[in-house]
Amino acid sequence: MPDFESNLKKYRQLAGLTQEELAQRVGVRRETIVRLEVAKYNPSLKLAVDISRAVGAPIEEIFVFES
Amino acid sequence: MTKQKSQYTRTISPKLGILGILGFVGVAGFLPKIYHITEILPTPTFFFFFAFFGFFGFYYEGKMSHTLMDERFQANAYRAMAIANKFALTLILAAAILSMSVLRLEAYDMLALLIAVLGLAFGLSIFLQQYLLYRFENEE
Repeated sequence: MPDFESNLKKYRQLAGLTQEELAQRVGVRRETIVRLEVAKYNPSLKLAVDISRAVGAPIEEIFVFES
Repeated sequence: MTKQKSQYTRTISPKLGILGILGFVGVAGFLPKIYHITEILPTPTFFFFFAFFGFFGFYYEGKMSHTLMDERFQANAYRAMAIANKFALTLILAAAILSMSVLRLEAYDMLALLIAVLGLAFGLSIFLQQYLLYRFENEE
C-alpha cells in the first residue's frame, strides 16, 4: 500500500461532521473512517470523491501522496 | 423484478462454530487401517468429514454478524479468500506430489491420504476465510 498523509480529520472537523455522520453520508462504516483518518486504508477513487464532496475539500488536500 | 442484494453480512450466532466438532468424525477414516479391512475401498471416505472443521469459521462469522459490507470489508474478504485458497491448494498439491514421490505410498494409503487432505484443505479454506477476515477487520 502506498504511503500517504491523511488530513481527513481536520477537514471533517471543519465541516462539523462526526465520524459516524461522515460514514453514513458516504456509505461506509465508522471504522473505515477511523482508518482513513490515520492513513491505514487506501480508499477507492469513488470513496475519495464521495468524501471530498461530503467535507467540501479537494481530494488532493485530504489525501496527500508523495510524488 | 431483481432481488436486492443485502448490504450487510448475515446474522448468525457464534455458537454455531461448535458444529466444527463434526470434523473429528473424520478420525473414523483410520478405523479400516486399524481393523485391517483396507480391501473395502470406500471406507476411507470418512476422512471427508475433516471438511466440517470449516464450521469453526462460524464463530468468527457470527462475531461479524450484521456488518455493513463496505469497500474495506470487501477488500479484506477478497484478501482473506486469496490467502486461504492459496494455502489449501498448496496443501493439496504438496500432499499429491509427496504421496507419489518421497513417501512412495501404496495405492490404498495414497487414496486415504488424498481424501483426508482434500477434506482438511476444504475445511481449512472455509475456516481461514472467516478467521483471516476477522483478523484483518480488527487489526490496528
